[in-house]
Amino acid sequence: MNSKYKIELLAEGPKAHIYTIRNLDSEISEFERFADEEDVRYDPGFQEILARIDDMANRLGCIDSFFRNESARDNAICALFAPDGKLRLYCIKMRFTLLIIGGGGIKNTRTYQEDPHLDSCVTLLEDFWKRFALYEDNGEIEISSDGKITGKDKI
Amino acid sequence: MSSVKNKFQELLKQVPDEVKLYVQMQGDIAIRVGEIIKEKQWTQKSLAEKMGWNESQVTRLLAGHENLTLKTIAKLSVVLEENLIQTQPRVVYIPLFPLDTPANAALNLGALRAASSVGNFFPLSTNKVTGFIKTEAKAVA
Repeated sequence: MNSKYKIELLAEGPKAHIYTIRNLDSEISEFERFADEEDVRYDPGFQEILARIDDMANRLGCIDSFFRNESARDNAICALFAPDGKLRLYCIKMRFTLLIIGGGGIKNTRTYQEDPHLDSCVTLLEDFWKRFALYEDNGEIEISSDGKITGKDKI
Repeated sequence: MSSVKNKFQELLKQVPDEVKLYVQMQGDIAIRVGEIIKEKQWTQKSLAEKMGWNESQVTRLLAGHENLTLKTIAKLSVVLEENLIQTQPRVVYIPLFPLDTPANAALNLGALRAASSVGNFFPLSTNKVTGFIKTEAKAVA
């Protein structure tokens, strides 16, 4: 199987490892694509999401209740969201100690499927997750108890 | 360090400390409330009823997304039977001795120096210390 994604470390701490993914056709990761969007950068919830990611890595771990299940197709896909706005950052909560972050943006539609950009973010994560599971089953990827991913970083 | 990790750290540096602390406090309260609910074997619905909330407010609270007022924290603390904020003023009480001997004066000065090292002691000059000692032995932050 040809590799399609690269797994890149975003944040690490005593409580969790947090990664993002990069489509190998792209120069930047999904997180960077999210953070580079102007309307995201100026959303009041953006800094709170950054602080939450850092706090999960260093103090709290990936607590279930911090995430909202978003995908109608797959329960593993969830979102970090800002309390007072519509900002969504889609991710896969794999373990208490391991989070994979994808892309996201401002959700102005009732469902993410109605927004082509947000739908593509979720679809990419779903595709990534299927591949990741295969590589993990084959033993080409391993997850340590502290959430660190070892083995292949391109899947 | 990977470039994306660098970028995250750069972005994080731009987040004001009060925002970081706010998010931490929200997270701590969310987790503690979740633990208490579990200990009491309550449901989110039962907490909502006791608080006079709808269930979505409890969900937001447990997601670390409620910007709680002091009044709400007080009500939550009563309902959950646990003080969710532990902050207390630091009051320094200094034992004082009659200033009838040089030894007692030295003890008093030592006690005042120790109290000032706590950080919240109101600074007094040596001159004023004598007057202070003669009156009452209490220093308040």
